[in-house]
Amino acid sequence: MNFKIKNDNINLDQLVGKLQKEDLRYSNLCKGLKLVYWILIPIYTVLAVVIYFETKEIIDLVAGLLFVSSFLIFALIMGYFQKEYNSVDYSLPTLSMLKMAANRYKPFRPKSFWAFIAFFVMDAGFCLSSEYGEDMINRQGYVLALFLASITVGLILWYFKYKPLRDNALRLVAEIEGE
Amino acid sequence: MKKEDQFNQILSENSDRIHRICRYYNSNTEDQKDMYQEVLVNIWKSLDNFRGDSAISTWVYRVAVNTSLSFTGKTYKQMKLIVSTDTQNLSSILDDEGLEDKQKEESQFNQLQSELNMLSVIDKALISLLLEGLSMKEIADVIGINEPNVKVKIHRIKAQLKTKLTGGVTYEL
Repeated sequence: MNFKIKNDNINLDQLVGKLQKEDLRYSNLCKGLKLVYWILIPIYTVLAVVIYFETKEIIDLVAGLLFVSSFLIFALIMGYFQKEYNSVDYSLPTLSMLKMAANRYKPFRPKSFWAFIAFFVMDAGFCLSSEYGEDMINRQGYVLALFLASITVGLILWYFKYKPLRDNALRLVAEIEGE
Repeated sequence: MKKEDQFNQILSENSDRIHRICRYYNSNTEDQKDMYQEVLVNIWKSLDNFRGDSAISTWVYRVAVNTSLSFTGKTYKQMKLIVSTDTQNLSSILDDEGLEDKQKEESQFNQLQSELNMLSVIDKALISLLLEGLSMKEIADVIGINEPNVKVKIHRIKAQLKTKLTGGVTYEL
């Protein structure tokens, strides 16, 4: 990019760097995770087929494809969030912008429930696969513990990092709509 | 028009406007520069969404005010609304006759400044737009509420300032 205007208070070359950095910062996390899932999808697809040919159990093929399906859902969710965080619009009327921010920082949003679906699809894969042993109850115990631990860590992160932002946005919304 | 060209054009036409908004919220020059950069970053990021439904100046004010809310959110408690004596729409408040009047004027101004800083963050945003000379309709367009609501809020802020300011002096913003 070549910015022609030079301003006395700001070096626009530096600004270009900051613009790019900002764009990257918002999208990097989701982009990285999305990439991981897109890498895992072909690997697990091949694994599912290989394991099926080894065991000749159709149930193992189904289990493998359930893993792949869950990765696919996670990849699509990450893509959606990446796009959403990239397109935060500061040119909306203040009230709309604040409402959207408050909505973005909700701990549970309708779109996030796709993550639960992906998790349960993955769990179904664990249950069906003969690769992970016979003890279904123990296996479900581990899965449930992992599930609860993920939610707990997520909620702790949300409480300290995003809840203050959401509270602040909601307070401003209430103030604007106050009269 | 390429995004870079559009950005340059907006910057050349609205740079002073953005600087003024930044000065309202920051007394420190470095903080003003930081906020100015942040506003430009957000203009860049939001540029693809500009559809020309409102005047470009109103659009720039939206980005600047929204950025100020986000920006000051980092130092929410320290946020102040800084008005200067050369603010176009404030100069008419104070007379300029003689030293005594000048001192009185300065004292009144300091008091006004102090009372403005007691306002809530949204009220500060409304006052900054009023000081910029925006009409009630334009302010409504920036904030996202209807015009009568803006009038009520501005009226309330003025009444609040009048009540708080002592000496029987009436400040009209």
